[in-house]
Amino acid sequence: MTALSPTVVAAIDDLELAARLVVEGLRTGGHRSPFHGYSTEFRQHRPYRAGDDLKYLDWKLFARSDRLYTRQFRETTNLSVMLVLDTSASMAFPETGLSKARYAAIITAALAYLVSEQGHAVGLMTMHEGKLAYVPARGGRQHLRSLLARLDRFEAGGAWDPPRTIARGAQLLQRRGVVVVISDFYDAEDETRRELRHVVQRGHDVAMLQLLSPAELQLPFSGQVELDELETRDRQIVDANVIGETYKTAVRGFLDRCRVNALRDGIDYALMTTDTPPEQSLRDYLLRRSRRQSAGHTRGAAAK
Amino acid sequence: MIWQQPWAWLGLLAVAAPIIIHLLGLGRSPTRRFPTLRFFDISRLAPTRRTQLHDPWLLLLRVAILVAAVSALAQPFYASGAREQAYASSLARVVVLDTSASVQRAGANALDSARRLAAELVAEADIGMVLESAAPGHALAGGDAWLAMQAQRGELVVLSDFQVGAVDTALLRRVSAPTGIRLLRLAHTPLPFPITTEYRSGDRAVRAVTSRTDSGPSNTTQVLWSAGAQTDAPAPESVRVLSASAEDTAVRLANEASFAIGPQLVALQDAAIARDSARRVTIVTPASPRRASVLATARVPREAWMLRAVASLHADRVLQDIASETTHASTADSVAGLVVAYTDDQRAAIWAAEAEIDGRVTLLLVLNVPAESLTMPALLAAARAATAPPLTLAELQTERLADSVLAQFERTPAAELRRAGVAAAVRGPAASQSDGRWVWLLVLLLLGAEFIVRRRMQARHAEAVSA
Repeated sequence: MTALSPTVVAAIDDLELAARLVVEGLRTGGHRSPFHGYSTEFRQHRPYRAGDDLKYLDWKLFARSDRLYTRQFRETTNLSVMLVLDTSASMAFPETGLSKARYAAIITAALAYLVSEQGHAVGLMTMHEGKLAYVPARGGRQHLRSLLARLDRFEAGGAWDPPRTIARGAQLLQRRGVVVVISDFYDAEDETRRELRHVVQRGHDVAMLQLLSPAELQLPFSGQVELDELETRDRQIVDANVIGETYKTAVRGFLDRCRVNALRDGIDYALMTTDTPPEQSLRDYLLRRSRRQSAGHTRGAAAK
Repeated sequence: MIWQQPWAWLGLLAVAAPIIIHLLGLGRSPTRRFPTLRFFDISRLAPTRRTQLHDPWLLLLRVAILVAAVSALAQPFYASGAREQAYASSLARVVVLDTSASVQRAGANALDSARRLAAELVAEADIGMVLESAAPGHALAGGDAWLAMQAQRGELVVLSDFQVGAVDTALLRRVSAPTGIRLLRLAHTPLPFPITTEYRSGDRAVRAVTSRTDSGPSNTTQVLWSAGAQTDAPAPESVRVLSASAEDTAVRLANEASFAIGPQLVALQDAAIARDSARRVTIVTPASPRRASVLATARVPREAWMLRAVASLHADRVLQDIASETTHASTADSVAGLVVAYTDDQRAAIWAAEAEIDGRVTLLLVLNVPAESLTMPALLAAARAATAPPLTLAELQTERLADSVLAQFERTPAAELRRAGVAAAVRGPAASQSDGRWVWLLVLLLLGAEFIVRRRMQARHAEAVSA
C-alpha cells in the first residue's frame, strides 16, 4: 500500500477517516506502536499448569530451582498520552494547499487513534484565543470520537503560550505518561525548552514533533517581497534574492538547535514537513522511537 | 541621423521613473503572508530596499522601451545616401515680389514683367509660390516658414528695386540657415521731384507738392499743401461701373456725390506713382444687362490685394452706415463671394467677388440695392480709397541698397540633410517621412518582450509560493 499523498489526506474532511487511513498505512507496514511499557505489572509466580502460555514461564527461575513457574501479572492502569497542539496563526501557513495546522491535526488525530486503539488514554491540550482548551486523557472509542471532533473544530489563529500550555498538559496527566508537543516551535524558544525539561524531570516521556512547510525551509520568493507575519501582522519588505541564503542558514541553525537541545534534554525529536505524506512522517518517527526504546532496553539489560 | 523634434529628448527624464520604482520596489512588492520574520536579519533589510535594483532585466527592458519611445517622438530621420541625393536635387522656391510704388513706377509694364519673371522662377523649382507685397521685407518670414514645411531644399528669391527700407537687413538675417537667399534687383526710376498730387473733396481741390533736396548736410523732404479753387476733376479710372443706360444719370450723380463723402486722390503725376494695371475694380448695378453673365463667373476673391480691399470696405464706417440705412434690397442675388455690407433687414447689400471681365481678373463689387440709393456714392468713395496707391514716406526714399551689401546675404540652399540640421527638424522630410515608425515598431516588440518577461517572473513567483 502506497502512502497517501499530503494533498489527498488534506482533501479528506473527516479527520477520523484521515487518521484511520494513516494508521492503517502504518499497520500495513508491519510497525507496532511503541506506546507501551506501563500497561502490566508483575505480581507473583505460581506453579506451571498444563495449558499455561509458555511465554509466561520464568526460565531463569526454572534454571535456579529446576521447577516450572508461571509469571502472573497484575493489570495496571493504561498509559496516558497528552497531545499538545500548537494552533497559533503561524500554523496556518501555507494558506493554499495543505497547511501546517491541518497536517498537525492529521498527525494528532492519527496518534490519538493509534494510542486509543491500544487501550491507552489520550488527551488533547491546546490554547485558543489565549485560553487553554483541553480534552482530558481517557480511553475508549467514545472519548476518541469526542477528541477528534474537538480537534476538527480548532482553527489556527492568534498567538499561543507554549510553556503554559505544555505545563498544563503535563499537569493533567495524573501519573507518568507521554507528552507529545506538535508545533513549529517558533514562539518563546528558551521558555519552551525550559518547560519541556521540567516535564521530563517530572518523569514524563516527552516528544517534540516539529512541523514546517518546505516554503519555510527554502524561502521560495524572488525579488522584493513584502512579508506579512501571520501572528503579529508585522510587515517587512525583503529582497529574497539577497537575503535568501542568510535566511536558510538561520532556519537551519534554529532546527539544529531544537534537535540538539531535545536530545540533550532527553526529549524525543522529529522534524516533519508538510510535503511528506503524514503516514510516512509518522512511520519514520515511530520507527525511530521504537529503535531508541529497544536500544534503551538492551542497554538496561546489559547493565543488569 | 536627424532628429526632427529634438525637444522630445526631454522625455528621457521619464527614465528615472522605472529606476526609482525598481529601486524602491514601489508597486511591485507582492505581499506574502509568512509564519515568522524572526529569521530575517533586520540590519540587512534597509540597504536592500533602497540601493539594490530588483529585476534588473525587467528594468533594462522598461528603460529601453522609454528610450525607444522618446527617440520615436523625436522623429528620427536617417540621412541615407539616396535621401541626401534626392534632397540635393530638389528645390522649393518662394519668390517675394516687391509691388511697392517704386517698382511700379519703373514703367507701364514694370510690374507685369516682374510678375512674369517671378512665375518663371517658380516654374524652375519643384514647388514654389509668389508672395506679392509692398513691404517685401515682412514677407520673408512667411516665405521662410512655408519653405520649412517643404521636403525640398528651400530658396527665397526677392525681386525688388531694394529701395532703402524695402528689405531690412535684420529680416534677411532671420531667414533660417539652410534656406538659400537670392536677391534680384529690378529696374527702377528716380522719383520726379517735385511730385504733385491733387485731392478733391466736394467741388474743392487740395494740392500737395512734395519736394526733396539731396544736397547739403542732410537730405530733406518737404510737402507744401495749397487749397485750390473749385474743380471738376474726374475720378480716375481705377473703379469701373457696369450699369444700365437707365441708370446712367443715377451713376453720374452718385459719382459727383462721392466726392462729398471724403477727399479722394484725383490727380497724380504719372511718373511719380504708377498705378497697378493688374488691380481692377468693377461695380455692377442691379439693372446692368451684363450682371447675369458677370455673376456666372464670380468666385470667392483669393488675391491678396482684393482681400485687403474688401477688408478696407468692411472698415469704412460711412459705407456701412449708409448701407444699413437702406430699407430693402432690390435684388436677392446670391453671389459666390463675400458680403461687404448688409441692409437694415440683414440682407446682403453689397457682395465682393472675383470675376473675369473682358479677359481681365477683376474685383467685382455687386450692388444689390438701387443705384439711385445713397449706397452707390458711398461705395464709389470707399472703393477708390481702398484701391488708391499708397504714398508712404518710404516711397520717397531715393537710395538703394548697394550690390555689395546684397551679396553679403546671398547664399545657396543647404545641399546636405545633415547640414540642414535643426531646420530639417521642422522641415524636411516632414513627419510622414520620419523613420519614427520603425522605432515605434521596436517599442511594440520591446513591450511584447516586457510582457513575456513579466508574466514569466510572475508565474515563477506563483510556482515558488505554491510550492
